[in-house]
Amino acid sequence: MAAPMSGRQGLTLTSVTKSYGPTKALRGVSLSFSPGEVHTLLGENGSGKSTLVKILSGVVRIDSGAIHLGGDPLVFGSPSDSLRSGIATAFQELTVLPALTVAENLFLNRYPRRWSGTIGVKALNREADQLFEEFELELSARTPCRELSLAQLQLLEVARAVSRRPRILILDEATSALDAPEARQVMTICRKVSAGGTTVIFVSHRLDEVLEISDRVSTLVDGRIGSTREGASISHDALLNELVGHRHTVGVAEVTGEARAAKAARPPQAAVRARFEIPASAGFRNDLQIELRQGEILGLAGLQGHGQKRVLRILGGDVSGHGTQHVIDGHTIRARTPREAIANGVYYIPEERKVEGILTGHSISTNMTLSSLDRLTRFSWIRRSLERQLSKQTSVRLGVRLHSLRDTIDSLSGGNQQKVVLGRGLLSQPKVLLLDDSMRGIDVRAKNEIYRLLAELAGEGTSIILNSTEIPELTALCSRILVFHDQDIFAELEADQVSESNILRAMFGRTEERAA
Amino acid sequence: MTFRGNGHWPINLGDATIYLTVVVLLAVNTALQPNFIQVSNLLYVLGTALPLVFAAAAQGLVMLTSSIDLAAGSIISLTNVLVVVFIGQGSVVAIGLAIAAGVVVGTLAGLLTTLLRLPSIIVTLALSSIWAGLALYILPTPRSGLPASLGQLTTGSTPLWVTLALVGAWLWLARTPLGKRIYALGSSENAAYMAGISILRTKLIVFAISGGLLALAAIMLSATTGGGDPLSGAPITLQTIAAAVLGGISFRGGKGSLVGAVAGAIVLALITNVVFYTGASAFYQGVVYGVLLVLALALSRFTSHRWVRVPRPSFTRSIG
Repeated sequence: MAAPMSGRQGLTLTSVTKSYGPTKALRGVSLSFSPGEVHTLLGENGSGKSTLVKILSGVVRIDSGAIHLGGDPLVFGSPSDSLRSGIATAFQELTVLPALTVAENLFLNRYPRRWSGTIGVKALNREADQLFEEFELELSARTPCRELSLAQLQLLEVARAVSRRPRILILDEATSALDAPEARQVMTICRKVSAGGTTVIFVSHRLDEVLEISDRVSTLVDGRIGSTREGASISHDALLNELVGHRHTVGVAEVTGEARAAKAARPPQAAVRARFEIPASAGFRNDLQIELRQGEILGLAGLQGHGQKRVLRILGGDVSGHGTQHVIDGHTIRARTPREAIANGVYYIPEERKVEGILTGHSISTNMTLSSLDRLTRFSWIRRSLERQLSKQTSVRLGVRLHSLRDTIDSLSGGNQQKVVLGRGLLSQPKVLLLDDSMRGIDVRAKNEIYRLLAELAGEGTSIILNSTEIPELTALCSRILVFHDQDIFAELEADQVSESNILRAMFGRTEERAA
Repeated sequence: MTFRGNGHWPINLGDATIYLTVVVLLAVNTALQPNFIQVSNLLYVLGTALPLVFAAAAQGLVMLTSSIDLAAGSIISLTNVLVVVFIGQGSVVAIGLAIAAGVVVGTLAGLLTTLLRLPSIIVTLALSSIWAGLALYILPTPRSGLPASLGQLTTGSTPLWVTLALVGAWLWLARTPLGKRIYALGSSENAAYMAGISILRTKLIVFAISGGLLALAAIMLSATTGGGDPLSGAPITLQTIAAAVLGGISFRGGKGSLVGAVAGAIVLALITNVVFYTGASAFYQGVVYGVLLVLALALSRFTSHRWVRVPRPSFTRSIG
């Protein structure tokens, strides 16, 4: 590891901001990266890490601020501009083409040509194998990519970035899909590349890895830099305290105050409403068992991609559960499709409202009654009066602000659209309601109203599982929280243990607080 | 200008412009030939349009679920041939058999698209060639000799009642849960699935009904021609799509009404009539027909409630 060199040779960001609509992803980030250092960016979901990576790789543009590389200002229009400036990124989402071989993917768009203009396959494979040898990667140039494992694909993604001999190498969660041996290979690459003077920007949630490899670590909290520390002076707990301490929670705390009060007023839960047994073969490290009491709001937390979302989709019947057992009120039910789940009293409300929720161009009442059409009929006709009455009751209960139930759902704001989808769930009279980050991206007032409704539903005996990326939302609503880490339930927090810092710790795979 | 069948308007009529187009074309026809507007003549024109009316309804139903049926014409050929071949066993047997065959053949297309998850455009293209071949095998050359009683289906005032019955059947269907499911499936298969709607069952029923309607179209065709022809359906497929689109049914599904498709079929018949009245030579008839079709489409676009805008998927979905 080369010692960080200061000065004008590195990459510097000055007051960079970026907003997506009303959401401020970056609120003025200033940061410098020196040649030859491994610099880690650490932060929870939504802290702005991915946005920063996307900016540097030319996928999105900055709103204001400046970026300099080696003293020259950088203006990115596209990913190819970024590559030309010497910045190469290995993305978390794989961009490998399965139909091509390893070598063909590695040098895509940069193939060696022969005099005839055709691709020099031998030269191509030779160069690829040389690269793998140099960086000690267990890959072979001629393998078709569709035969590679997920881990090998991720390694190839890294190799492709490295093969460009970049001045700046960005590894965006390149190790999150990898087991220990493959992760080691990535670390080896980091060391070799940085020894050659390249800056490595490392994004990871695995603290052990981060501490082992990093020269410096910067924390991102709510779109700002929390701190930048030298690698030697860092401990796990110091980093976590940092992430916890700087959380910008004022707005959310106000909103959830009422829900918090409702939670306190709720009596301790008694009867078990549901039991779910998910086998490890559905993609988890262990068999999972989840018990849900009557009138309970159970929280699911975890960093993106750690399994909590898949659990919810399995319970809702959308994703195959490999023989998952659903037991509701003592009866084993079938829930292999959303249809079966709904018929048996389990309703899943998806996150992607626009794709999986609403029917655009159709009326609010049509959207509201979609899951309970058979309840509305008499002699196979839909009773308009009943349809209107139920839609009206539900929209009043949810506080949907609308002009007329006959207006198309497109005329509503995002928050109100989400309320309609929630209303659709309620009309199916579920015993278990599954909410998958459903309050994400909706306005504060609508959020507050939905929180109140959830507390009310729980009071009436409906059991709710809430997966959320907003930790304050979980602490406000849930008296029990399952925290996922690495495709497993890492911690079950109950009563007094439910706190923002405990949740965050567990999300990063740490248990108890030690003296920093 | 839209009758919002799915909410705003009490009955499901779809886009209003197609009805305006019908009126405009009636006026044009009358201007060219004053006798045109007589009731008996109008009924005659409707009678000749009946096969296409039923076929367009069949296509429109499939298109509402954002699928397409390229085998429509071949299914008409096949069932048309069956009517003639089995007419010896009595009209009822022949008609019943044709409808049954249409339903079976339609269901098969539905099964293939849903179970094998193949795009309907490919499945029905392949099936189209199978049914066309089968029709030729059953009856290699056209045959006439259907009883005159069958011809009554498309003469006198019957065409009006038959059309009204079709429209009524649709208005009923649109108000059943199945009707809602068809629209839901067409506007977002994903959202419909998550809301607990069975994609398989809904599509199967739609393709089955569509096959039945195509058989009815074939029976109407036999009634107008007095015989059966293994090649009779071939040109109809593309006309059904044109009629449905004219009638305001979107290729992307989930929008429009079968009543619109029926009106679209009538518009096509009226255009054919205009071409006939202009006295254009056989060489130019195709050209005139095409130009009028484009004009009719343009009319529906310009008077439409608003231009259809496709929301662009945003490149960066998640932040942070």
